[in-house]
Amino acid sequence: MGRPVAIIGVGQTKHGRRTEISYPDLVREAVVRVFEDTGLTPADIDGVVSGTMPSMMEGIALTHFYFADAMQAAGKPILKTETCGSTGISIAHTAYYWIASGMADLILAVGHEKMNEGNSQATMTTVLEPFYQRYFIAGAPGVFSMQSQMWAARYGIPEEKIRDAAACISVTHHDDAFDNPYAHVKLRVTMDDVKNSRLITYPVRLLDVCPNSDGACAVIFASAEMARKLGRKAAWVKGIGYRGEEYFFGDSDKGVWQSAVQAAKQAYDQTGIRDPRKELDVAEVYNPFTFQEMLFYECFGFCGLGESPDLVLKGVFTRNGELPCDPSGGTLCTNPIGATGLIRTAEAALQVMGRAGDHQIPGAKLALCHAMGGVDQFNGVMILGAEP
Amino acid sequence: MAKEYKTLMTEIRLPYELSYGPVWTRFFEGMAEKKLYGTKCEKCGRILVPARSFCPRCFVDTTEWVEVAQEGTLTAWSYVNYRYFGMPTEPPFIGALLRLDGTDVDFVRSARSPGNAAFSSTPTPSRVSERFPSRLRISGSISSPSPATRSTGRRGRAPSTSGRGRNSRQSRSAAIRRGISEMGRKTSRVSWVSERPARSPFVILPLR
Repeated sequence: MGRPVAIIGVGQTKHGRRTEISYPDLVREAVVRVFEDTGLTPADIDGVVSGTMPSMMEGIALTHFYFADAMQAAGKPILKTETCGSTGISIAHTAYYWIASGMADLILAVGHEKMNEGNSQATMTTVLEPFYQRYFIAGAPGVFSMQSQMWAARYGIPEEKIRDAAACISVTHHDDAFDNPYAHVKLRVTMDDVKNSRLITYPVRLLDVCPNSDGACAVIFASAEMARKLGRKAAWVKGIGYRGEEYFFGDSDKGVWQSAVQAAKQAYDQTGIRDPRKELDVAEVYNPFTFQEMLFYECFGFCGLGESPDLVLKGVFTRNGELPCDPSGGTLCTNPIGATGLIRTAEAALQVMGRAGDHQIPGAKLALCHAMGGVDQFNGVMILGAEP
Repeated sequence: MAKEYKTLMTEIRLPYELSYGPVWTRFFEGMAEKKLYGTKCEKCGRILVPARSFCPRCFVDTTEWVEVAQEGTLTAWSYVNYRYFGMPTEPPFIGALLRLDGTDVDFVRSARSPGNAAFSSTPTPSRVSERFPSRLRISGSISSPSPATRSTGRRGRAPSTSGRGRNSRQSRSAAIRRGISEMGRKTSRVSWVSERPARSPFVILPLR
């Protein structure tokens, strides 16, 4: 770890179907809010990091140039980070590295996506080469359905139990989203609604899947010196981890997902966490698919391998449970992809700053945030704490 | 009523000419002869398919070519029942990760049961669990990709949970509900990845 780094403010747009606003204006909405939140001005910022999912999504190459004005980046160094689904957490890591290295004191990190302007699944298949894989993997749902099956088959978990646990996750998160003013999908659903919703890629159904959201998120990272000078409540970066795997989908085991396990382990080691379920107060796990969320619980050591469906059904990961996961409603209810990982970071920061509003976990001091990306290839984790 | 703002419809079409290089060229020459080739890493001993010029783990050149079996065990499958823009295969179809006998990585393919009207027209999962075998055999014509002739499907929207159109889907939901209850019974005997041998021959769709 380099110099201590803190998050001192966040700004989110209202996420949803935002056809009424142009893309640069949407980005600016989040940026204006983070400046309002921190009381800083663009002149205070040393550098800007931004990111989206692959540029085929936007139909405009090098979007950090397109949005340079909306991020007030003129005259400043600007970086783009693009790792598909994990883009948002990669942006957070990039901002962290910049300050930890001692090269900057205040970095503006912005993630953004207008999913409704392009075609998300067609874009995602372009991550795959066209020789062997692109035409056989049906976008993200195809990949993650297969991963869920590998995991379920590994531990011989009965199909009905997994189905119930996944439905339970969907119901809980959809309920949670009502307490998050920025969340996209707000729906009261029952277990039966989930189980009877339209089949997308077996076993994943419509209510097991995140929506296509338009949205942006801006976060300001600061050095310890700057955070103290500003005298603001801050969320301190305690640990980070990022890992990738081989490119070909069939080359590595996705049932026990090593990149998720190792990314979390690195972040835990830096933070000094031994028993994550006891020590963490809240987690913002990247959960575009209900089934996959359970796999992450296991990879992050929240429970033993194959145990997560039982614990989900017992309510261990709900807002009143032992380790609340995604009290914001998570990716399942809001997914503007380039922003999503950074929204996880922003939500975790708000929790440890005690500023999460109606979905605040009382007394939260240590939070995990996470995102995954590529075609099941990358995982990134960040741990935030209330104290330096 | 809120004012509606205009949107711009635009499109980017770009041609690409991607090199196969010697190893992938040889692999596809094998496919044209209805043979599947992998390469072996001398360091870790793994047989990689499709053939690779180097081992992604050991970072050494692969030197040995191995003809691999056209039959294998399913690692995972996914029954695909939605559309997106430019989808090359008309859903429903099955994406599969296949561990070909004697190899050490999973090979990505898609599969369907040709001429099986029930399977291709009725997307109820019960039929999948009942019919989908644990082992697959690659058959049918296998050829090199010819992306220039690919047709673009109709513009498909990824799932939206806005709740719009829920009523119109009710009859369909009822059908799916029946499928689900059926599935519950059947899957008590048949797991997601069944141990039973194939009942019907499944064709792995040719490379395009």
